[in-house]
Amino acid sequence: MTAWGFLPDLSEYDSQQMADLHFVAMQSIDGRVSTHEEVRDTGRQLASLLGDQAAGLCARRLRGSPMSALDDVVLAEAGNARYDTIPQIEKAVDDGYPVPISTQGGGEGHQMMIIGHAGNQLEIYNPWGYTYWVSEDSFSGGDIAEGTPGLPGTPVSVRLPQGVK
Amino acid sequence: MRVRTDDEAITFDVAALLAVGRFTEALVPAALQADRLEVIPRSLTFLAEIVRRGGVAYAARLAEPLPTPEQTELVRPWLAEPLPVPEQTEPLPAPEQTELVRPLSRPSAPASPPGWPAAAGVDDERLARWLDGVAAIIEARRLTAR
Repeated sequence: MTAWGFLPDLSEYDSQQMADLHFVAMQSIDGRVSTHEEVRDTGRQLASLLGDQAAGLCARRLRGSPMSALDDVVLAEAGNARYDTIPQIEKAVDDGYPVPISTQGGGEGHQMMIIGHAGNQLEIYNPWGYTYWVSEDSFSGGDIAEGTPGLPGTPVSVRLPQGVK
Repeated sequence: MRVRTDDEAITFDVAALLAVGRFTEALVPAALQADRLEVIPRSLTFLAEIVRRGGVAYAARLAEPLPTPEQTELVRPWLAEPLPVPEQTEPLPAPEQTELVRPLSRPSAPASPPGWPAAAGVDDERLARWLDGVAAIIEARRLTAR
């Protein structure tokens, strides 16, 4: 932000945005904008420009929020890699971060969310329309479909919050 | 396999679950109820940022925490103060002992049901993470639901 407080940092403007802003500002300054309607319209242009910039700044800030600061952890084919990841998954879930998980099977891929943990069980939300529990053994063994026909059940990657290692 | 369907989960009283600290159980019901009202995930992420930076009480005073009146009506009870925190005495029961399908309504939801985790107190970060989680589940539904 600039010293004006409400203005974004102009160093983040690209050349077109700078040109647009300069054009609007010059119109206002040198009196080419004289009527009430022109002042109003110019103000709207300026507000639109600044609004777009503010939205961009907001988006950049949100990229730092916990759910957007996720690390992809690829689970190797070997069961040991999946087993080794379980403590990280459980810590993330216990800390309040649902963990997105990608699965494969039958030539298809799927995305689900690990949302809970109790004992040696993981609670999984399947966007197909239900929540269910699987054991750590099923996860380590590479099949969390629990016999559901057509559900790709082999975990291939999870997305953990940064810092949960 | 123990399964809780979306048709069951959508009936749960999210505010009552949050009031007693059952954040995980409230995730899917909240996402389903928000999805039904076409809540955009990033609007929940934005609300989470407000909670994180300004606190739950500040967010609760917003005229429109979400963009439409219907969405605001849905989310406002989620921003209510938690109930008083009693002493934690028992661990969370394993899923084998837990009745997964347990619709709640405010009048029947005790402050601290025996065997369930108690509320952790006013925790802005915890609620903000929860809102982020609700947004993530809505997004997952829209990407992969069939």
